[in-house]
Amino acid sequence: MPSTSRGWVIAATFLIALMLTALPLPPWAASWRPAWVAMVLIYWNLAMPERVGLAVAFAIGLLLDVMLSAPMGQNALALTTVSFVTVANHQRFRLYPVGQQAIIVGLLILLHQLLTFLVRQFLTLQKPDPVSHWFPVITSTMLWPWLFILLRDLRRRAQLN
Amino acid sequence: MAATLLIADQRYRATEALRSAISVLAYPIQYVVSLPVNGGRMLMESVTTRKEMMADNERLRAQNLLLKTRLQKFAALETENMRLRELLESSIEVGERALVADLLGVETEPSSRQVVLNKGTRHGVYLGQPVVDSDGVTGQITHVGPFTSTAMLITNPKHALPVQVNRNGIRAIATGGDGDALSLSFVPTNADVRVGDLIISSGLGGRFPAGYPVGEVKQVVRTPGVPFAKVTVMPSARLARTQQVLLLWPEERPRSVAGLNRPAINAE
Repeated sequence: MPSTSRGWVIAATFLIALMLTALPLPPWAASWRPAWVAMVLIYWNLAMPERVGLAVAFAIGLLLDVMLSAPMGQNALALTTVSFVTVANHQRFRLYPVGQQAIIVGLLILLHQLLTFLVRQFLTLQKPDPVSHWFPVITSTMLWPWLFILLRDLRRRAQLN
Repeated sequence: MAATLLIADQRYRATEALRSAISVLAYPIQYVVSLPVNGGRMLMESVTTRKEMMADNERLRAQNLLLKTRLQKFAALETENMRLRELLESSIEVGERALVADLLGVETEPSSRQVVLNKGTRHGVYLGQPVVDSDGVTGQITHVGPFTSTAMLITNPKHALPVQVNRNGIRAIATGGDGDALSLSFVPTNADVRVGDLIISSGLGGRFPAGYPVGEVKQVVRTPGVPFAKVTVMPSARLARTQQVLLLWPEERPRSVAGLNRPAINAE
């Protein structure tokens, strides 16, 4: 493990993603909030699947559940599933140009939202909004290229490989 | 594994300890995020002009005087009420221990009608504890961590609150719904409930103390052939705008108000 000491860079990106998720926004903007944590997770799954894998996805998901007072396991389930698909295909996804990658990420976020939608629809009494629940898919897809470049530069500067 | 957790949480509430432990990790994040929100509020407070402050002060002083006058009367009434109840050989508890908690400016699940408070088990907060604000019942505690707790608002569809009509004591259950209003269950069609009636907590169920305002009846729909009327209640607590709430301990008497003359009840 040559780069163990630089693991804090990964932790810091997750921390910022969690903060962006907890940041209060006006109601109209809150429904457009991108799935920050899922996107950062997908990036690290693609870049270094041997370090950030399913276990990390599950742990981050639990933390997110507690932070958002969601049903315990909702985000853990969604993030672990997304992470599984990403890690299983990471060699293919990594080769795609950024635009194509954005579409793949959009589909992954769609899967993420579908899982949270199902959980909340069938396990809780608070029915999710059938329209605005899918907005994060659009914003996440549009933001992916920028996030990708940002995190890639960060990773290269921190010499994480 | 996550699915097991989900079911464990929903069906058996078995994950409370785990949730409490992880909330320690989540607290720094939530605290940092709420800093700019609370900081902005403090900034707004510190840049108010002297004139505004004086006006505010004046208003508060007048309000304080008014409330004090009314409180004097209440103290007398409370003693009288106690004495009468003593005669009837029944006693009620008046007043509870209370603690002010700040809302953390953080997001929870979209449209889940929950708030995060900055008090936890270290301050004595417990599961199911009633939460009120200056205008009425706000909700109850659903998750507790060492430093933070989550409260479910009374408008949450999962929440039910035993209430009664203040005017005539008709009892009902107030449940949350889809919007910002509450609805009363189990009100017979012929019950005397009118628009504008004050709804207060009834204290049945033993979780909420009796007598706190819950809301005002906004609409009563009676459909022939249906045994129960459809009653809509607007909550009196400022659920969406409030910054501070009170946590109540219904079983404990207040320490600060102990000086109030309450002769008969303490004598036994």
